[in-house]
Amino acid sequence: MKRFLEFIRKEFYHILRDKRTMLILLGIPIAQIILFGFAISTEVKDVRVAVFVPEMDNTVRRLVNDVDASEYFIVSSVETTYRDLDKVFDEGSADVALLFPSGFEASLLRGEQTIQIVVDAVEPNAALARSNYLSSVLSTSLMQLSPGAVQTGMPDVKIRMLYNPQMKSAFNFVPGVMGLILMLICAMMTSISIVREKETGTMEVLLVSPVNTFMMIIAKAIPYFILSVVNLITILVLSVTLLQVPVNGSLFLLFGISFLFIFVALSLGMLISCIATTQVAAMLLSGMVLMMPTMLLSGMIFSLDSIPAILQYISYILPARWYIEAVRRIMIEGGGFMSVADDFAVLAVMAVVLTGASAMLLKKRLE
Amino acid sequence: MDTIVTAEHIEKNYKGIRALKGVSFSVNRGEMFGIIGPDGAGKTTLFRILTTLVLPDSGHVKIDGYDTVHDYAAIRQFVGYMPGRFSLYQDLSVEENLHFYATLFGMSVKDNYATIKDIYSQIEPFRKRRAGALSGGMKQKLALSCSLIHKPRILFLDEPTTGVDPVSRKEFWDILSGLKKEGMTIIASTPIMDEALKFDRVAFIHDGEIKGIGKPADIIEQFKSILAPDKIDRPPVAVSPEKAITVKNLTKKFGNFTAVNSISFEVSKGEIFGFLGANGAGKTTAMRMLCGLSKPTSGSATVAGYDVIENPEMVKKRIGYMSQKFSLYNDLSVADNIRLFAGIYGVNDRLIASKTDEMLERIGLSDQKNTMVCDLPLGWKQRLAFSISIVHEPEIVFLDEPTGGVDPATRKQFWELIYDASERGITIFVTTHYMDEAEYCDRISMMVDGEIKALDTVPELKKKYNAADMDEVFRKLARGALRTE
Repeated sequence: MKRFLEFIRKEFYHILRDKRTMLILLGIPIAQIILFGFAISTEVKDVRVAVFVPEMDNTVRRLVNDVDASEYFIVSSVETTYRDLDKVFDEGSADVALLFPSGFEASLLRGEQTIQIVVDAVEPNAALARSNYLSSVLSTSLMQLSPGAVQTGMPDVKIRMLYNPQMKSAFNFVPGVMGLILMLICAMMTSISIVREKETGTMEVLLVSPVNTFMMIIAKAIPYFILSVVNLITILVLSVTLLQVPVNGSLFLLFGISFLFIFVALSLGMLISCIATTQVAAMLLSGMVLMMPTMLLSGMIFSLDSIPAILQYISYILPARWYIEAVRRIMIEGGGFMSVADDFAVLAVMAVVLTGASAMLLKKRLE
Repeated sequence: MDTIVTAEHIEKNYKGIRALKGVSFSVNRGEMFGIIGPDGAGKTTLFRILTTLVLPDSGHVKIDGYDTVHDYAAIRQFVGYMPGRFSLYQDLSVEENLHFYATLFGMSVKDNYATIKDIYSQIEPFRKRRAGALSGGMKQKLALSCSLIHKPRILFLDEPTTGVDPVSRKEFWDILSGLKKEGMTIIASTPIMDEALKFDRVAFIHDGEIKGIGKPADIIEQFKSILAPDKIDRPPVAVSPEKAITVKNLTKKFGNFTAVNSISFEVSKGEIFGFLGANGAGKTTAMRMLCGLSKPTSGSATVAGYDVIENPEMVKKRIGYMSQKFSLYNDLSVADNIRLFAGIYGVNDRLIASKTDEMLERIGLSDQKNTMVCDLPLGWKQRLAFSISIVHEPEIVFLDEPTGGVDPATRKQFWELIYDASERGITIFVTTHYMDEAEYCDRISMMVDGEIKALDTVPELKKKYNAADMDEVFRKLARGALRTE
């Protein structure tokens, strides 16, 4: 036991003395939360609208005012000809163009209304969201103007956004960032720290000593486990206070699934350290083989329902996919244990398999 | 007699190469047993098999009655091992390293302090210092303390004195004889023949085979061509009146610390100038200033006709540099390395092709043109690195411990190249820890604590300090050193 504690202490020295790496490890979650929370956002907010209207009348003025007054849009220019339509997008002075036909008020009274929305669709998701928002703002506004005039023949559809009524992207990103950071620290850092001993030659001496190899690796994992828990708490505190992401479900359950996921990530790190012989190889293995799929296929960036079937199957073997899904259920939807039971089960199986595999691959000799 | 180690017909193949071919020997309890042989002979592989780190393909090794294959766990309880590289945690302090290795064996430093007291007391004043900031000699003592802290029955040392200066080396061997007196069995390897003489018996290993086992003096005599080659005959050269290097009161300070304290000397064109000193005496700092890499705090130096302060770039164009640490790209072929470095120094393409062939011819590597550098033995790499460092025909070439870790025969081959270059008028400025190598130099300077304490030809120095060899000169001069880096 004393040997074990001494090992952990030594690992802590390594981490604490490498100030730069430690700063990165503790700073990454903060940077990620701020980045994903504020900078990278698919939310519709302050979208610039260029209005093209040949004849300005009261109805159009009311509509434009309503668009401008909504928190989503800013009217950046009002033109009286359609000539500059292309120019607006070329210069990038607006994101959306709103085109009214001439004599709009009169046609509205006749029961015909055509308004054209032109959107820059380079980013398809954003374009779709913007056009949807704009048409909904316009129809609400038209409804108030002349309830009788709006007879689209369509039933009145009311949409309710469950769990995320304001459609905040943070609700999607926070669970993703949690999965990513925990994977990064546990898998990558554990594998690097084990492989470093192989590279510097200290592993030779450790092997020619009575120390149990498995114990040694567990001792290496513990400091990173603690570091991950610190990061987990940082992320949660930041998202609740800064991004107003709620923790609707049980905090206990959230930590439970997080610990299980950390354990899985640590065993992955051990597995990598059994295979890799240099720190660079360990970094590439964990970076390319673990991080990239985790980012792309775990539902953090792309919705899993819209990716091809084969990629969906691949995503099943990614621990982060199950973790992120469970975190969403618990944090955002406020689900209880039963709602995440399958995620728990899958992660538990992964933990057993990975630990077993790395224990089997663990070498008691060189080469 | 009581044997503690028996090795029977060990075979080991690596990537199709037979690293060990039927190696058999036995070591008696309490014996100091040496394993000597050229670089790449299979010494490290043998150590790894003995210490249970690597499995032999066939054959058996018994360590104090335990088989290295089946009973490895038992063996690991009572052996001490110091691999070729210093197995220390650079970011842990001296005492943290020691403490860690003690707990590894379920002991505390106190339990066995008596065993390591003599060694450890020398580094104890620096116990708070990080291991990475220690000098080579001190690292070696710490590594030895760490491998002794559990009081092993057998100690395995794989070339423990590579890169360590003669004073520290002497102290190290004194410590080992002390341990032997206490009954410890020691198995070690060394490329230095003075050290080999201290063993009770040595095994000479060459090409993976044990060619002979016996008293060190007999074995060295028997395999003289490899272990103790005759000196190279070199006709005395007339000293050129032209000066290649002129140094006046050159000083370098780092804060309050004066690394180089007002040194002055001159080196003639074509001369082979040996720049000696203990680890930490200021050699590397002085050499960096002469190469235009570091700006002197005061004083002046002219190298190849240019002032190192005013015109460092011109100096760099006219010198060559070879260091033990950085010399060649391991993942490029021999020809690619030559091409790259020649290109860097602005040798034109047509010339590179002819020079490559000529160079490979001279160093006997014509067949290896397309071999990856990492697959070459260390001695060949060193010869290649030297040839590359003079590919642009510099006026002076600086060599920083160019022959670390190779046997005397390989060193001799290297020095033949140096003589060849010197005859072509290239001035050689060389640092080394091997005193047999120092004897090859025309003149020697000895640096102690940042100052040049002696500067003369080898025979004159021996006469002046009343010493039989350069080793003794070195020890007499360096003994007064205060600085421990």
